[in-house]
Amino acid sequence: MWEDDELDLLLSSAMGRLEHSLRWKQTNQPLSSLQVGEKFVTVVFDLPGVERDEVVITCTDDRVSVEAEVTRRAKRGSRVTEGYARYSKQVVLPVKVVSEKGTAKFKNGMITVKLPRRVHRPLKEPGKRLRLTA
Amino acid sequence: MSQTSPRVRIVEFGPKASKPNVIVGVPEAGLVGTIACSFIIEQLKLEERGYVDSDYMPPVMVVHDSVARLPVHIFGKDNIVVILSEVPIMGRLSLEMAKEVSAWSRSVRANLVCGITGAPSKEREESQGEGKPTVVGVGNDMKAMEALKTSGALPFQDGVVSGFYASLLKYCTQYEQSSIVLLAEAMAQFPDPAAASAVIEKINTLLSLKVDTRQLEKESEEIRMQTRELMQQTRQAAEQSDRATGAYR
Repeated sequence: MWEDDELDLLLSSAMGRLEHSLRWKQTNQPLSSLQVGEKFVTVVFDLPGVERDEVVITCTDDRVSVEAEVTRRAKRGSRVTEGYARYSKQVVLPVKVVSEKGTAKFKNGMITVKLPRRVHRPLKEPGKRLRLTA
Repeated sequence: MSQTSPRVRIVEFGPKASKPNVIVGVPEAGLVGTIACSFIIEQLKLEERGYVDSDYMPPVMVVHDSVARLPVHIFGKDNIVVILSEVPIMGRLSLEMAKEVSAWSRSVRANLVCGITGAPSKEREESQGEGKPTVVGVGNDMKAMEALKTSGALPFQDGVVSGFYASLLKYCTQYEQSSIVLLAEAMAQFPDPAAASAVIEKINTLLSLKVDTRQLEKESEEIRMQTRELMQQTRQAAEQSDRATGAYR
């Protein structure tokens, strides 16, 4: 039988789904992923339908943000609709990075931001060696 | 009518398929299962034949053209049946639904149950979806292995299948129902229509269908936009499920 808290967990996970491809006149949060490697932090944003010159990526030592404004005119027969959508998201990084050395690649609406991690200077002295006792 | 589980109901209306091939898609890595099944249904103009429901289904109604509908439906035509879920299926529901789908397939004397999903791939994540995803497959009996060979999917030599599709294979085996699962290399965290395309090509070969994947490629951007929320929900559901079971990912 279902445990009560399993059921609660299930029912409390807020799930809703909207069908629109672009939410007109609202700010959307694009999907993103964050990967922390040994030397680099990689953040990927997914902005389908957006052109390269419509995106602005900004980064500081501890966060990366994306902003994009899209205006599209769609023509279907004699009807012309103009839609506007705004994407905005800020990703806080769990480690410090060197923002000046960041790179951002755009491909097909996916933006990959690669930031080198801030390296601490290695210890001048080797640590104290501990003797292993039984 | 429900076969084995009082917790999950499969309700059918409309003509019953005879010895169908049952394709099953639920949202997982890259939303491959959902995107692929949704596209197959649209392209082959499959008719609605029923739904899958449970008191333990997430409290979600999917809205299409202002009509509120249950999230898991059955579509079919001739001898193809597609079971499509538009919500993530996790935890206990995942087990119970896999059990019920397996039992139902056996009861309609299905030729083959084909689960389609994505396998998270580091390479694909790193290249942001560039290149053609590989499709691997796993089967549960001789007939399934033959089917896999026909499809052209690479055999999945060693490893683990987990979650809904693992339960599907398990219960199909228990009920002596031939079944395969096709997994396309996919981006785990973003909708991956190209991965869905790759798996549809294998289904086309396997079941002699002519689903045109070029249309899927054209609609790729729109699909990524439309499924953004579902991807977010799927990621959250996976995290919650991991926390609940203490699984290490």
